[in-house]
Amino acid sequence: MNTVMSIPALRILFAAAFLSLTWGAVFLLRLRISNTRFGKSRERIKALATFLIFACSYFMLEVMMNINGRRELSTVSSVALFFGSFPLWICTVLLLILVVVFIYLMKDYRQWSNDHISNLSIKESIDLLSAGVAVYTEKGLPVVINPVMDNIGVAAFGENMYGSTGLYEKLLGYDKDVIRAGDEYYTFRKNRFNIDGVECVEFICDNVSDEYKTAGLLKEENERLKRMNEHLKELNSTIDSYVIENEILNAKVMVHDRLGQTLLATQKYLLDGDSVDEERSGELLDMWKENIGFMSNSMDDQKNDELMALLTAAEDVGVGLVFNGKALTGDDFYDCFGTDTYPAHIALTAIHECMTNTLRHAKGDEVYITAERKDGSCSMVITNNGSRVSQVVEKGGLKSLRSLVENSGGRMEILTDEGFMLRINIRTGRE
Amino acid sequence: MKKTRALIVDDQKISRQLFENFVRSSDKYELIRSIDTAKMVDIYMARYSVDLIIMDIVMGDGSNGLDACEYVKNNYPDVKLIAVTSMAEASFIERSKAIGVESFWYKEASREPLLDIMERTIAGESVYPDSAPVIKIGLTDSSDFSNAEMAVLRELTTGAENTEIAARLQISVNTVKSHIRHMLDKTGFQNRTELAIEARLKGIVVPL
Repeated sequence: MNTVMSIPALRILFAAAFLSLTWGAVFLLRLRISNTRFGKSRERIKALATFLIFACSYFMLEVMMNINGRRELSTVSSVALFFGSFPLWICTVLLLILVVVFIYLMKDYRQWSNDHISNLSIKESIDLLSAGVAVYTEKGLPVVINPVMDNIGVAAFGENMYGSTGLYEKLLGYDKDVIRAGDEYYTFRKNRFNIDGVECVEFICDNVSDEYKTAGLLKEENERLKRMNEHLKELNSTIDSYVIENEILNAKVMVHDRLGQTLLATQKYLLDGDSVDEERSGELLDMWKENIGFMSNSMDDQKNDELMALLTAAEDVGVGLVFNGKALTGDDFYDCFGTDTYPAHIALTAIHECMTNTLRHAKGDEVYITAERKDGSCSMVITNNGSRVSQVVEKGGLKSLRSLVENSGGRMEILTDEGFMLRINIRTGRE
Repeated sequence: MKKTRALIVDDQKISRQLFENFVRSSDKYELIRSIDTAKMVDIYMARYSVDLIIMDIVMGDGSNGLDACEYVKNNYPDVKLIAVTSMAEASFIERSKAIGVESFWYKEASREPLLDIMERTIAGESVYPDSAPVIKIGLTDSSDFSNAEMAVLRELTTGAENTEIAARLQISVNTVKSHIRHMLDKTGFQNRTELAIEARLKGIVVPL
């Protein structure tokens, strides 16, 4: 009976076949074991499987190779001799079985690969993310770092993933929400979790460059709008002047038009000669009176401040304003209350209100104001020479005056025992 | 025949002269006073007996003729009022009617002479224009703006930001933005500043 040992050519052929198939099977088996969850036993199982396959293949190889063709039994192991005594057909069957196993393992691995994500594919996926991802153990050993995080590390900190624990320490110590890496902006967050009992730190950076730039542009736009609004506020006061001047101009144009009409009417009147009459003469005279009236007065308006307007009105309506025993003047008033101050405004409002009430209710024609300023406050007493009033109902002007006074921290009192008397105390600290 | 006692209130001297001439030109009227500020109306009303007031609305000293009209109507209900203005601000007509001002007259735009308005008002008639004058602004007319848009435009001319406008008008910020955008589209102006300036210059809106 022929054995494999007895045919040198066949021996080599079988040896090569066995060697290839066993090595292939070992590779596939190790891959398969690596990608399944044996947990801590994974490596032991891989080692055991590898040992068994190598053991089988070694003995088969020893049998098949027998390079020197030695027949000395003492140099060949007993196991090899046992396998070497197999008839050719058994070795062939064994070989075929090995082929089947190899094909099975290959198909199984391919099937498994299609149904599962391998560690490699996870790594590839992380590398392709637009976000930066880095996972380290607590001791600073990298578990996974993708190229984006590596670039962030270089751009932001000058550290890459290859520089020992430099990048880890920089990321661990970073406490802001946004990282700027060159022209790109990333949000930054860190998480801690446990993988198979190992404490890990995860750093994730999301690219928000577009949003950041848009926010920056929005901020600039808001600043621009704010400046425009402030400009508008300033412009408002000047526009009022412009509008007023425009009104004056329109009125002057109308006056000139009327003058022109008057001239034309006069020309016709003079040219008509015999057909003039008294009525027409009268109308023409009225027209000239009107036009002369316009031209004889200054067209410019005098601007008065609040006090001057009050003094003008008082003179016009025949009411005397007596301030601390003498006729009220701007100098005396502003010496007491200050110029353009809140106390001055309250005082003027009080005088105005009392003047109106003196005329309307008390039927008087003099208003007496006594004012004194000391110790950070101004006190005023206002009376009049009108008839006594038994009751004063605070509404309208007096009510508004009380609000003004009390909102500024002052006090207001109305007495009617001996005629009308208004007492006000204003804090001069408020401007 | 008893003359109608008239009080003129207008901050512009030339306007006052014109009104004075109108009053003096008729025997039916007696000019009581002609004053340049609405702030002193209460003093003159307390001093003089007045039947008719010709009241300018926008005063250079910041006083508001419509506020003075409201004071007069509350305290002297029998006095007749004619509000006058050269501004095309539409809300003036609405507010005048709400206060009870008898008549309203546009200084430049009204075709009826003021004397006619005065006579009709004294006779018991209420004379109001059909609408505010139509003023061209940009590519459109002031009549193309809705009431809501005009309200936003009025606040815009004060330099208020969108959030302030929304708070004042009690609408959302998005609504404010939408109105501004529509007005810019209608007028063809590039930005809100341009819109606000033109609206103020033309007197379409007057923040009082």
